[in-house]
Amino acid sequence: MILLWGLPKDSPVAAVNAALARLGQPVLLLDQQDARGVELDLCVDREVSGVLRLPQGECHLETMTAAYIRPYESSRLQAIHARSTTVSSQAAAFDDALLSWCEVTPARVINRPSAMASNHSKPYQSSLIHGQGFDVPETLVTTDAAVLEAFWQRHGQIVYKSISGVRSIVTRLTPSHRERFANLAHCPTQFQQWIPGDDYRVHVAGDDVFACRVTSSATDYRYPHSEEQAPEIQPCTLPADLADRCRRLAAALSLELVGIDLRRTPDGQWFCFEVNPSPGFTYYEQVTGQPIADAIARLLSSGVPANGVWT
Amino acid sequence: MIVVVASTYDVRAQRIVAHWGSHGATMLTAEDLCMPGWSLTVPKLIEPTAVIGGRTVPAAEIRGILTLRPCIFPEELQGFHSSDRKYVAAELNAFLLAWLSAQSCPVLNRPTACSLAGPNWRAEQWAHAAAGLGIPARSRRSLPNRDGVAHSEPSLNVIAVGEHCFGCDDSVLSDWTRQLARAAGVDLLSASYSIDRSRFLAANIWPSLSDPAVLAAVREMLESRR
Repeated sequence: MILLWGLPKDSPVAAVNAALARLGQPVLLLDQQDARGVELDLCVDREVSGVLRLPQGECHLETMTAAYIRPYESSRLQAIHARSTTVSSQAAAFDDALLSWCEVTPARVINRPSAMASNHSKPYQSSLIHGQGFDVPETLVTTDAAVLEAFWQRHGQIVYKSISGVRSIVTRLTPSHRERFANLAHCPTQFQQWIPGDDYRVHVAGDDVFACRVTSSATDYRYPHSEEQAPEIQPCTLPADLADRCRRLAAALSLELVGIDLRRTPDGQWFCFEVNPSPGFTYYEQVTGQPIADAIARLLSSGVPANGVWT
Repeated sequence: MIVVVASTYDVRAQRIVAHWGSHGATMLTAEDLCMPGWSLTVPKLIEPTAVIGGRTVPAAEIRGILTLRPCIFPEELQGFHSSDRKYVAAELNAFLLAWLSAQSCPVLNRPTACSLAGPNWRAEQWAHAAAGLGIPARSRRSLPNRDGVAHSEPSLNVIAVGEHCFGCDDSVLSDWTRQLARAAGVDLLSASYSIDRSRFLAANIWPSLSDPAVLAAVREMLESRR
């Protein structure tokens, strides 16, 4: 049995569910918004066992061979938030228990929550990426305007973005921002060397690598300011050694599915910006036709990894 | 300087800093993170600087760091508008994780992606780790929790500070605690066991540091250059 946990209408969850159906795999789709009547018994010693009881039946956790998880914070889900405090706290307790199971089960979990956590701090993750031999853009986090001025002078063009996993629009720093430098003192802010070139999104699912080239004149191609800046996304093949490095990076972060953001400069240097451990791959799949969901489904169907013992 | 990372409101941390006053111990609070003087580069271009106790400090001046919190909570950021607190807390936590990870001095416990100190394991993860080491342990959880009461039983507590153990003279329990600390990748750990000394019950990354002998061992570890 393969567990899918999240929102059924969430595009990646729906795509993986459909791909598993094409493979004829038995799936338990656990809708995070509908926790009514759900019960969970979890028992952990050297083994991990338990029972998940749903209105439609029960499932022994030991029979789960794999899981694809994209849970949201329960309190932010309208269907839960709008109901009673009791429902909300029960949903949070259920999330916590199932996340705990995801950490200890020998089943293949895409991805384990603790492995995904590096994405909550961009400079922390960047140091891990750099440690795996990738060039990363020089990054400064500071509360000090003088240090920022020196960094800006060193690089000529820089951008700023959130430090945490909270999504933000990457924005170029311009002289008009100077009037806001006094605000720096209130909260550390992240600045980054601007790297010219084309973006590449690389999805790694196990051994499968899917790359696409993203061309856009926008500073952040996810947020174009005009139709002219709309990203053009084309499938491509990475140099074999770079594809291997992407696989190794995912493995080093203990992640079985990742979306890696690379940029290639005009003189051919590759920089790595970020590793997304829960990629919204369908955005790219729909444009490129790359069978990413199928690759994830195959990975989930391949059962417990050889090194599936919990570490 | 020894740095104690804690909330301004953490009385226990204030006592530790007072106890170590002669060793230059100072608290690093969320308020410090919101002052000019911080810098961190990735990859490392310049020596990181910090603001500790209101003063800008080069990283080289810090001999050791004791972290007494898993994260900064939005609720403690009273200086920010309530609608901004969650975002600011996420940013401060992300920064502090990167900054703590970049320090070469002893850090108890070293941060992980999941927590500013240690692995932030749930009860199941501790039980699984203990059982995997051959320590009798089991964790059970049933949801919904119908009786709504957390049951606890009397226990024996052992605190490990590196290879030193405190609180119980049982060599088996001490050995189990050291093994668990190694498995979790931490230097500071409290583990509790059943009174009959037969079973692991729970672990805590933030043990009571009220015992002067434990505090002395922690200080010694923080001052040992790695």
